[in-house]
This record gives sequence, C-alpha cells and structure tokens, in this order.
Amino acid sequence: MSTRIAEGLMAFFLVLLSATVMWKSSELNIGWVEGRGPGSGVWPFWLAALMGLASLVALVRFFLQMTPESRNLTDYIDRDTVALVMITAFGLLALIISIHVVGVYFSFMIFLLLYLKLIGQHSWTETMTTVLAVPVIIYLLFEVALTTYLPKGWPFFEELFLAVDNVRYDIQYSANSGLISGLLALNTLGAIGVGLWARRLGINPLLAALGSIVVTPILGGVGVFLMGKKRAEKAA
Amino acid sequence: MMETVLIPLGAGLLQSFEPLNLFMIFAGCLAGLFVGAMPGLGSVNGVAVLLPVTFLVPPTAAIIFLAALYYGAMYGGAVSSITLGIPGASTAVATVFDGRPMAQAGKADKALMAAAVASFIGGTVSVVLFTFFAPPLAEFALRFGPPEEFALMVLAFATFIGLGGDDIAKTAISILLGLVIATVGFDIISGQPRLVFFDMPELQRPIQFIVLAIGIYGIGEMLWTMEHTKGAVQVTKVNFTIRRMRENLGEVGQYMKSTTVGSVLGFFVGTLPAAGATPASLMSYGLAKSFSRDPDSFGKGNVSGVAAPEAANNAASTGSMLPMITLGIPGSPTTAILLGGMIIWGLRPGPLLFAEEGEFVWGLIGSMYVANFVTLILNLALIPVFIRVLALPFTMLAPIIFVLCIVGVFATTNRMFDVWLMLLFGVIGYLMRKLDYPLAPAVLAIVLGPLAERSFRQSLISSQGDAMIFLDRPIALICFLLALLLMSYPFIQRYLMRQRAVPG
Repeated sequence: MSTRIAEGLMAFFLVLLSATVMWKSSELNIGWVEGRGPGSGVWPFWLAALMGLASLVALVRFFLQMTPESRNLTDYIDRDTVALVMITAFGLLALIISIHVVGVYFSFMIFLLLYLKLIGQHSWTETMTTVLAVPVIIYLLFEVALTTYLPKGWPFFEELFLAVDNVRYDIQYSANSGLISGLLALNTLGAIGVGLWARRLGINPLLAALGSIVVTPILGGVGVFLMGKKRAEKAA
Repeated sequence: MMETVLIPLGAGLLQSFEPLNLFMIFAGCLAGLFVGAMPGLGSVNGVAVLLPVTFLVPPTAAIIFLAALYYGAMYGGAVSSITLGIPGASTAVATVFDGRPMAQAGKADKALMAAAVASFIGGTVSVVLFTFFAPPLAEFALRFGPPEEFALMVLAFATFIGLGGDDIAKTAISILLGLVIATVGFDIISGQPRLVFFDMPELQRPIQFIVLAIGIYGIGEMLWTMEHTKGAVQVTKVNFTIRRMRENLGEVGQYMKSTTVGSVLGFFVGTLPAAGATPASLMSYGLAKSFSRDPDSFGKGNVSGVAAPEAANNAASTGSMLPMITLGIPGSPTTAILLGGMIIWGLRPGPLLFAEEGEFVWGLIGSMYVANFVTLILNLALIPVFIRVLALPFTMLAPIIFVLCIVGVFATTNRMFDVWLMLLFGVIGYLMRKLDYPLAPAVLAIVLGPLAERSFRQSLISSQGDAMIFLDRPIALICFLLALLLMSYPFIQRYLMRQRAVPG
C-alpha cells in the first residue's frame, strides 16, 4: 500500500469516526435544556462535528494532492520495516492475549525470551538475566510496594502465584520481617557480586549468580541449625 | 516580595533537602539522563512510563522525581547528539549541528562540557525567572472565572494550530480526537452515561489520559523508533580527564553570551503550549549564529552552537512548568502528563494551587534549584558511563519498555480493557505519526478535555445560555482574540509569502 492511499484511507476513517460519534451523542440531548444549560450531548456532538469538518478538509487536501503524503507513492510501510514492526505489534497482541491465560509473569517471561533471543539475538546470559530479573522487579515494585494485584490468568496459574504471595505475606507480616527481608536483600546483593566476580573469571555469570542465590540460604540455614544444636548441647 | 517569594522559597529549598526528596532528585536526574541519552526516548516517554511508579511516594516527592527527570532528559539529549551524532531526544536536534563536528575533531569532551555548563546556566536562569514570575501570575489568575479558564484553553489549542508548524487540518484533528476521547464515559454535569459504544460496560468509565499517553509515547513511538534506528550506531571515543576538564572550564567565557541569550529566550518560548523545548533550541541556535562575529564557523564545530541550544532547551523545560503550575495549562506534552498526574494525586491544578498547596508548589520550585546542581554534577561524573550505556541495543530496551507500559497502565486503572485500549492507541498513533499527524496535541487535549468542558458549561449555566459571557469579560475577550490571531497566523503568513513572491 502506498503512502498516498494510506493518507486517503486515514482521512476517510476519521470522517467515519466523527460521524459515528456525532450519531452516538445525538442519542442524548444536543440542545439547550431550559433552566439547566446545555444538554449532555452538546459538547461531544460539536467536537465531533468540528473533527468531521477537519477530516473532510484533510480528505479534500488528499484528493487535490496538497499534502506531501498524498503525493508520496512509495510504500506506506516498507518491506524491511514490516518485518520488525509487524512482528513487534503482533508480538504485543499475543502478549496481551496470553496475559488473560497464563497471567502477567509467565507471559512476560515468554515474550522477553522470544524477543531477546529471536529478534535481538542476544546471548543466553543477557537474555536469561532479563527474563528472570524483569518479573522479579515488577513483582517487588507493583505487587509488594504498590499493592496492585496484577492479572494472573487461569485458576491453575493464579494458584501458583497465590503460593508465592503466601510465602511473601508470611515474611512481610511475621515478627522477624525486617530481619528476613534484610537477609533476602543481602542474599540478592551477594548473588549479584558473585555474578560479577564469575564474569571476571570467565565463568557463566548467570549460572554463578543463580547458584549463589540458592546455595547461600541453604548453607546459612544449615549453619544456623548446627550452631543452635551446639548451643543446645552445651546448655544440656 | 520578602513574604511572597523568599520565605516560601527558603522553605521549599529546605524541603527539597529532606532525605526522600533529595533521593528523588538524584533518582529522577539519573533516569532523565538515561532516557534523554537513549535515542528514541525523551522526557515525555520517561514521564509517561514512570508516572504509575510514582504512586509509591507522596505527591511532592513524586513531582520532584518527574520534574528532575524532565530536567535530566534535557541534559542527556546532548550526550547522544555529540557522541552518536543522533539526537537523543527531539529537543537536542540543534545540538547535533555543531556537537557532531566537534566530536569528529576530537573535541567531544569540550562539547559535552559546554552542553553541561550551558544547560546548568539555562536551567538556573529560568528557574530564577520562574520564581519571580509565578507568584504574581498565579495571583492575577485567581481572578479568573470559568469563562477565562475556557478562553485560556482555547488559546492553548490555538497555539498548536498557529505555531505548531504542522499541517493545520491534521493538528486540528489531533486536538479534537483527544477532546472526543476525553468525553467518553459519562456527562460530568448530569452524570448521564455518554458515548457508551455497543453498550460496553467498560466504556461507562472515562478513559484515563495515561492510557493514551502510554499508548502513544510507550508503544507508538517505540515502533516508530524501531523503524528509524535499524542501522548500527557509531559511538565516538571521548577523552575525559580532570586536567582537560579544568582547561575546558576556563573557556566558558567563549559561549557565555549565547548561553545567556538562549536561557532567557528558552524560558519564554517554553511557556507557550505549542512551542516548548525543541523550537526554543532551534531559535536559540539561529540567534547565536546570526549575532555571532563568525557565523560561517557554525555547523563546523563552534562551541557556541552547542551551548546556545542546550541552554535554551533546559530553560524551556522550566518555562513550560510556569503555565502548568499557575494556570493549570500545560506548556508541553511532558507537563501535560505531569498535570494529569497531579489530578490523579488529588490536587486541583490551577491558580489556587499556589494558595492551597503552597508546600507542594514551593517544594517543586526548591527542588528545581537543587536538581540543576545535581544534574550538572551527575552529568559530568557519569559521562563515561552513559557513553557505555548508549551501546545498549534497542532490541533489549524495547521489550522491557513494552512490559513496563502494560504493567503501568494496569496498575493505574486496574482494568485489562485499558491495556487493550493502550495497544490500540499505540498502533493507531504509529500509523498516524507516519502520515505526519502531530500527536502531542492529542495528549494535551485529553488532559484538558474534562477541564475545558466543565469551564465551558459552567460559564453557560451562569449566564443562562448567553454566549456573550465569553466576550463580555475583558480577559476572556483578549484570550479569544489572541487565539483567533494565532489560528489565522499561518494563513496570513502564506498570503504574505505569496505577495512577496509575485513581484520577484
């Protein structure tokens, strides 16, 4: 489709849109209500009428070839662009549909994975870091800090996240919430440190960081358990 | 003067040093430098996408963050203009003209330094002007009733038609489209359902401006940028040492004059709704060139050619906040989103803001002084970092922004319906933008729409239907005449051009 045709179609579409809004607002009172002022439909009706007028002017200017776009016979969206822009637009469409099914977190992870790997062709480290970090940050920022309940999709997936939420509530509202969240933050920071360090040594930083984030609490837990046992034995 | 300006200003400055607010200034400046420096992202994209996140903190801290972001973006734009040769934001277009040749001649550090210093001077000059203009203007505006408010809004829309420089029919369509979208939901006076298409229950609630703003600036612009940054970018190397920095600081005198002129010009141009930072910087560049002793060196790496537009765009960003704070009319798309944010935070924009929410207003003004220093320091300290960040590929940034857009819209309105609308607006916005429809007027219009309708109908109710109420009151009459003049300006200009062309 050439830019010229797109210009005409857009103006035509806008004329139609204005007419629809005018028709819809004329269902309300578009005149003067005695003692109460202008009716409810007056404002949208006349705005749409003006918009229709402006769109008609745009349409006439298209027919008379007065705008640069109406003389432009090159492709409206050229071939190279179609690939990138269309894939992105349809990717977004698929993303929003999948939110209704699997919820925001899983659909974000799938979207980011496919986008970064297939379109961006980034390395696995970059891709997986983004895929894992973005949902965690969104969870902390929107669900924890802003207390918004983001859509979780069908019941099966929703329940998965309710389990996560339960753990979070246990931490957030337990007596030791400060201590536990402090430890969690330390663990995260530690994992980032390990990742950076591993990168210097040439080891896959993502794997190292993930390992650290899992292993450290286990080691810490075992250590605390053993210390408690020793102390109990001493006391006995 | 003492009681009305200096004492509240002192309180505002103190307020901006509160730990939370100071942190917000730093965070905002950093975020701003980032969005400004990334080609394809500007202050308006940053503010639109991050507005939902600011509901975390109280309104004062939130607006401080967003205003600092606005500022930072003006500085950040210069970084990519100079090192990449691509403007980081449209506001930094003029900086490329001389910044790029300087970088190619190995003087990128000098150009970056000039941009930072000029931005600082521009920002500071205009915030001082702001401090002394705002209170009297707000006090004057206190006399405004609904007719004057309505007249002012018509004037704001008229500036887009007269000064926007885009196709007039298309500009008008954009404004009216924004206004029409704002009418969906219910009638604000009678509460009657209105424009509920297909009887969809979702349409019984008004469409929030943030849905349109994020759709256009988060989705539409990303698609547009993707189309335009297909080619790989080349980052110029920058030598940045303390010694050269000190040398460069000694040469500030070279561009002092053009910086000062640019600052004052930028402030006043910035206050006009349609003009804003981009035309201000271009005008400032033109002025600096025509008043220079050596105009031929412009475009080949004259340091004044970097300083003048940078001073002007920072000054304009502050200038555009003047009508937003004092009159409730945003001076730019970014401030339109700030204004919408203020409504969400529960503040009533308009002249009463100064009287009723003094702490909020002066906290913002105080923070602007501090933010200028912070951005200058951050900018100079982080230039090496930003140059590395600029190498970040767009294919990584874009999907993260898309995800943030979806969450941001949902967190603000709590409806998946609005997420769908956002995608629709984004795609239509992209298609319209490709046909040269200006979209900033639509964002301004959806924010001002409900306010305009209210003042229009209140005026008519109070006059019992006599439209003469808009012409009987002197201030309203002047606004309408100015609006008429502005709207006919493009036609007069065309007529004069034709007249001149005939004898030649």
